[in-house]
Amino acid sequence: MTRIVAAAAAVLAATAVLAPARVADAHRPPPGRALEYRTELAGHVVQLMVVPRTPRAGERAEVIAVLRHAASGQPYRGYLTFLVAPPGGEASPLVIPLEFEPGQFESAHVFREPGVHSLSLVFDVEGAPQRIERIPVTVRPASNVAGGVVLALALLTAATYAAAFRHSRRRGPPRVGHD
Amino acid sequence: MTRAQATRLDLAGFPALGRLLRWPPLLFLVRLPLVILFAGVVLAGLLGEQSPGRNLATITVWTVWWAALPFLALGFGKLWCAVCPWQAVADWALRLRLWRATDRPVTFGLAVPRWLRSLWPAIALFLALTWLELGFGVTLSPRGTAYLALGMLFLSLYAGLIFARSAFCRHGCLVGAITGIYATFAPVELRGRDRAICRGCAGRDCYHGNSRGNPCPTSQYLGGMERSSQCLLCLECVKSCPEDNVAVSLRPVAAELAALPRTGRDEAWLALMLVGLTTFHGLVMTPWWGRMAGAVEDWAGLEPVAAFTILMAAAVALPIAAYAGVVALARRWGGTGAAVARAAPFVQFAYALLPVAFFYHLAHNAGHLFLEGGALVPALSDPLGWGWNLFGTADLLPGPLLAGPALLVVQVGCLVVGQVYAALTSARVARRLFGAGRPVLALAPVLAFSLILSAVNLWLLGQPMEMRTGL
Repeated sequence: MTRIVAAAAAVLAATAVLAPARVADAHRPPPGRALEYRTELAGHVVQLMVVPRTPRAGERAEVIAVLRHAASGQPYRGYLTFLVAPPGGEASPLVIPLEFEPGQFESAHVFREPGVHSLSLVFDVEGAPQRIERIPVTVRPASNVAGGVVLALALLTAATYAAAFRHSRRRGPPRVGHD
Repeated sequence: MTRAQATRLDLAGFPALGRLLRWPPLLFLVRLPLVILFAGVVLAGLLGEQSPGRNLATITVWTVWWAALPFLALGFGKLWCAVCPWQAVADWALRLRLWRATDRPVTFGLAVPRWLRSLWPAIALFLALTWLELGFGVTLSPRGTAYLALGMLFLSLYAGLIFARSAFCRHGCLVGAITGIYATFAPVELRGRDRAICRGCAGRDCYHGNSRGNPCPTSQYLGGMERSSQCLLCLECVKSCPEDNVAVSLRPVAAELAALPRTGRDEAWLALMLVGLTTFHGLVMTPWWGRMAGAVEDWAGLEPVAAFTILMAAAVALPIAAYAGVVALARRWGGTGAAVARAAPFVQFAYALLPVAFFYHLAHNAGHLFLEGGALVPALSDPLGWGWNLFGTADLLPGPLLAGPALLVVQVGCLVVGQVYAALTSARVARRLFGAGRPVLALAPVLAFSLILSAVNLWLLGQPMEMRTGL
């Protein structure tokens, strides 16, 4: 038993120890999982991501922006604001994004209704606001799977309860104690 | 009076307190507000704003309750099990009584199958919850948190419908298993006051129950009870004992760990998993984790969830594999040969590492509680995140209760205390198992291993930590 555990651990440990040698950018979602938009504005390369790629209504999504100076490659130093407009509605700013690494910003957002929302980004270069406007984000309707599972388990519990109730009433009180 | 009894203060021996503990509605009255809060958490999670920093469900469950649970275990042992809201609802539904005893609970009353009679179901649930918490991000999902709460209620109720007594509490509940093993440190215990009276008791009412109290939900018999890990502190035995022979006592901290009266293989595995998983919890919340996980994802071309699962498996398996090597070394150096049962060092030294895991758990959770705990104040006024202001505190966000160097001092203090207990317990186990050989040599590798674990935990405490509710 101990040998099996040790062998399994050795394989897993090799993965865990060797992998960090190929360190990638933190918080960067893998290809295909995020909605990605890339552009250049005011001498800055801007990469905007929404994870998951097509969020569900009522569920949490992450909006990530990575900004760096196009010429020097240095991370952007300053503030930025995400704005989201629901389908046919006015844009409103998200909560102040967290700068988890220099030039990399993240904000959580719950898209309330299904449809195409518009995501905008405003950042500041030498006192002048720069805007990236109306990137479409498609939001799917809320999932009913979890609700269905809860309902199924509730029905199963109710049916079992009814059967156990009949069983306990037929059986009568135990002779010794309650066991 | 035995030496152990001389160090106990029997609270139930005080007439007024004894009467209070025997008062049938006591537990109901303590459980009721928690059941109402539980219902509020589920409703807030399902219907409220799905923002983890503003929803009562995520803040109450993950920032306050889950973070405070080890502190509760340190102070009061398995007190949570006594007031646990999902078991309260299950008890009321199965007994059809709010506090009085019943002789006909609603259940098929089947015996738990032999293969399930261990802590392994609870350990599996603990691994599943850790995966959901850190890999799936359920701490950031109010709705997911509500579903999890309903899931626990379902498991508790359904196990009670099928099996006799509280089978889920005894074998399946991860919270009960963790607080049970942590209860070895608690300064509270419930025991038979005089074992001779227990042995002379023909009815064994504590075990079987009677008209005053229900049977022990986890099938404990006070005449032979030496550990608190399965005692839910539900006080049914206090009510049912015809001889008034149940003591609810204060005892020295970690008295049970020092005596180590009975060890179990499943419990030892739980202790070892706690060693890996508590450290893993800390690692996942540091900036290093993003880099590591990202590297594994890119290197192996994996989805984040798959990469997380592999790294979590490594985090559990690595310390256990290293521990197996350490124990093999201790056994060889201890020099008692076949005189010591093969599994005994593996099982018993695991309890010596428990303080390292437990006190790091406390140190890590102190960070959550002191830094994030204030989020509860606005959430109570606006539990659904709909802009309410029930108590006038919706816009009040208290700063950290403790932060910076002061918090670090508390956290490092926890690690030091844990390491001291680990050293003392290791020495005791080494003397017990290898007393006839070379106990000091047997102790050396275990002690070194516990120091390495503490050093890793200390390094983790020095790293910036991401908060649970994204605050």
